[in-house]
Amino acid sequence: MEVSNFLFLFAFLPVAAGAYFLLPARFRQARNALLVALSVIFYAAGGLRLIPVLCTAFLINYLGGLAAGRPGRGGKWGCTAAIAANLLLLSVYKYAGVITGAVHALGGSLPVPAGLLPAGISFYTFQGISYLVDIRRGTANPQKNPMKLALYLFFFPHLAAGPIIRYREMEEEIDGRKESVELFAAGARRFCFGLGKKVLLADTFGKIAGKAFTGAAPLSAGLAWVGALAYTLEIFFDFSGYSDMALGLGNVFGFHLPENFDRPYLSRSVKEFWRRWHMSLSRWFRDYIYIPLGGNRAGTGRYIFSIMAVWLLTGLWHGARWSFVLWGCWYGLLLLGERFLWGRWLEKLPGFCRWAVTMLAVIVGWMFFRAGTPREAVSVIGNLFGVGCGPEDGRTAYLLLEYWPEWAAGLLACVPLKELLVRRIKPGTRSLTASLAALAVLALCYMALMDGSFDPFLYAQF
Amino acid sequence: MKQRRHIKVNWDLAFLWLVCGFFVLAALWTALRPKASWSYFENRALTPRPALSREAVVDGTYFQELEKHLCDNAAGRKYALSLSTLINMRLLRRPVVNDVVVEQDMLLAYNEYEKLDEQAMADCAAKEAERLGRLARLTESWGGTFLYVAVPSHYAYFAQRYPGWLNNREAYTALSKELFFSALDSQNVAWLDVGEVWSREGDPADYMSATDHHWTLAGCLPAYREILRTLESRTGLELDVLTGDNARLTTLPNSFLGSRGRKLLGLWDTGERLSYLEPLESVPFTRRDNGQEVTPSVFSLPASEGDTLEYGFYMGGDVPETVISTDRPQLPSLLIYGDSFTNLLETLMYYSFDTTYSIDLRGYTDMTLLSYVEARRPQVVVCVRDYEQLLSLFGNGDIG
Repeated sequence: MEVSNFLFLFAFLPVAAGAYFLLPARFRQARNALLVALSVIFYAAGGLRLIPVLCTAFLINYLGGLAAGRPGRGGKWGCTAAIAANLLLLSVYKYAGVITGAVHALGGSLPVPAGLLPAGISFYTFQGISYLVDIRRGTANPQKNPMKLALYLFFFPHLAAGPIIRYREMEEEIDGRKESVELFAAGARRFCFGLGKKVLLADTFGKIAGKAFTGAAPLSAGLAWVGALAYTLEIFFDFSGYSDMALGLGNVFGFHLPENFDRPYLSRSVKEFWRRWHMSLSRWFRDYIYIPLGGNRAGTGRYIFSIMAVWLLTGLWHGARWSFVLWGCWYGLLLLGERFLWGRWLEKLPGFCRWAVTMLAVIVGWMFFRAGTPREAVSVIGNLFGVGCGPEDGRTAYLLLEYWPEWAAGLLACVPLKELLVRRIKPGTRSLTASLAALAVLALCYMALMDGSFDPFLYAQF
Repeated sequence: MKQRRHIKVNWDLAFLWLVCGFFVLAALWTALRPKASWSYFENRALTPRPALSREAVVDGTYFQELEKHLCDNAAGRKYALSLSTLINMRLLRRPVVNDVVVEQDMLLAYNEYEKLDEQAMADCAAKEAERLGRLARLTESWGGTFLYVAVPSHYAYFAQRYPGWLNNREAYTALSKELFFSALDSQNVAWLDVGEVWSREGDPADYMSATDHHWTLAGCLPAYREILRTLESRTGLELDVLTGDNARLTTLPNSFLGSRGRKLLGLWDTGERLSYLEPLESVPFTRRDNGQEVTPSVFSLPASEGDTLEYGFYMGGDVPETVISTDRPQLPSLLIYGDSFTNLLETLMYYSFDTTYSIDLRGYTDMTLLSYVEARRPQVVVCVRDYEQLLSLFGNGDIG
């Protein structure tokens, strides 16, 4: 089930919220149990066949957590084994197709795994690993209550596409959260705006990118740019929209989930971009891969190795495709370049130029990310710069004119317009204004959903 | 400060009541309202409620189908679609709404951009022409005649009305006509290009509908007369022709909802009205649709002026098989087949023939067209297809 589809919005969510708030707040554990049950139902709506995967992930982390909490070698081995089991589970569902394909290509034979990629497996696997490592590091205590651990791992708002939460960020609120009208309203507003980002903007930019890159006719440079910009906006609104919905739903149920985006397209360097984009994933890689590998305090060679390893893994985390690997390497190289080659020169440029250079790097990066193969990525990137282009055929103008409201709204939504507006509104009426805007967005989303078209969240694929 | 907090909480509460009310009401209304199976304006079947089965729940398809079903039957869907269409047309002024290019006085088809595959098109042209050649030779084997009539597609006729940045398929149209007509020539198949007939008359705008993708009576009439002239010259027959002297032209006051107007949910009225021509001295006939005798009429006349009309007014729309018998054995028989452009033409053509067989191979499955022709042995066989379908090997392109 997707959090932007009709079934979720008009069946699951009203029932879930109604049942939750019918339970008195003093029955905290009953409310927690209800949230776990709802999360399992939410996941099972994608197919009951997914439930064994969820159960396996839970058992690995529950037993692994108990083992990791033991002192000495036993704890270390328990933690290592549980991490390995998590990675094995992820590999079986995410990378087995590629591995068996490679074995077959080399003349070997392996059974081809059946079934689809369980939604969100990369997210809850990484949460599980962070939980185990934090226990081992002593920054988190093993959770003996299976219900509470299940709530941390599988809380439905962030189950499919994050943010990736660390156990200690949620631990206190599992027992001690306080639901309130203000928090509920703030969450509902954020949810509405997130839904708007997904349904009104991301899905439309997805259509634009699809039409631009359809392959029905050769790309022109103009069309390649329209497609690239549309995809750049699609992925931002898709993913940040989901994050807003997750955070908003978290608020509705009394949780404060960590932010995942901070206006990434205003960044003036690639380093800054990754501090603002998918912040929970960047933080995970920093804390559990980059720093343990030595970070920036273990010499230049080690630093280069750490950066490239982190970005190779970041690419692979998104999927078993060479284009993801290239995308990861692209960012690894850009970050190294900023650090050792052009970083100081870049800092001397005016802010607009730094922003333009950063956005160019990001847009080119998304072309690696989107492409099915490295060859396709290279071809589209070439088109962006006028290499191997077909003649202009009017599609560029059509895609700009047809979708001008979305282009305008999308570009405005990337800048801190909200903050500017909020400052101009009297404090006493901010809540009213935001509520009215949220209701208007909700009404527009309802109209858009009526088309019956369905576009899955991009990040739910990971 | 206390006052401000009090106000905020009140607004928050009001907002929560509204949001929760919206979700709950929409959910209840959707759940309780009677479910429809067909969406008239979208011209499609709505997704039925999926059957609950163990397999569907296990593989997740049950909830996927339920989602489609709920979206199709959501509370206020029709109003939401109408409002969305109106906003897109009037407020945002998008050039293309619901796949319709909205011009001031005309609704055009939106054509996706395309890459022409000349070889594939040539192969299709040769194959279709070879099929038509077989049909023509079969018809000639008992002294009959075959004529292929190509009608301009709406987008082809109004190609110059498209903004320069939209695809009017000019290149596709030119290439497909060139390939197809030369392939027909190589098979010695007689053909008539209605586009050329209309060109000679200056391509009047009212020859094609402004709200529908078909021709109008004004456009059909010169084509009809040219077809009969061509048949007379090929067969030596003398065929009665409906003209201003022996027929009455009637224009209905009802509003006309063309296929494009329908896509815009009837929210765009170009003021177009339907006309029809009927002989002053009526010709009695019987009509059988798919083997069943039906009311002997070639028009679906509206019950009142308030009824909205569609192109299906002519011949009652696309019927797989219609046989009109006028019991005038001295006249030749006609078999006409093709897509819905035939419907309007048939309301005129039956006048000149004893029996008129009308076949639409998109729906007719009892036998192949070649078998049908062999069994009925009509003196005249006419195929009517628009430019878009010239190279199509399916539907009325698949004659067996």
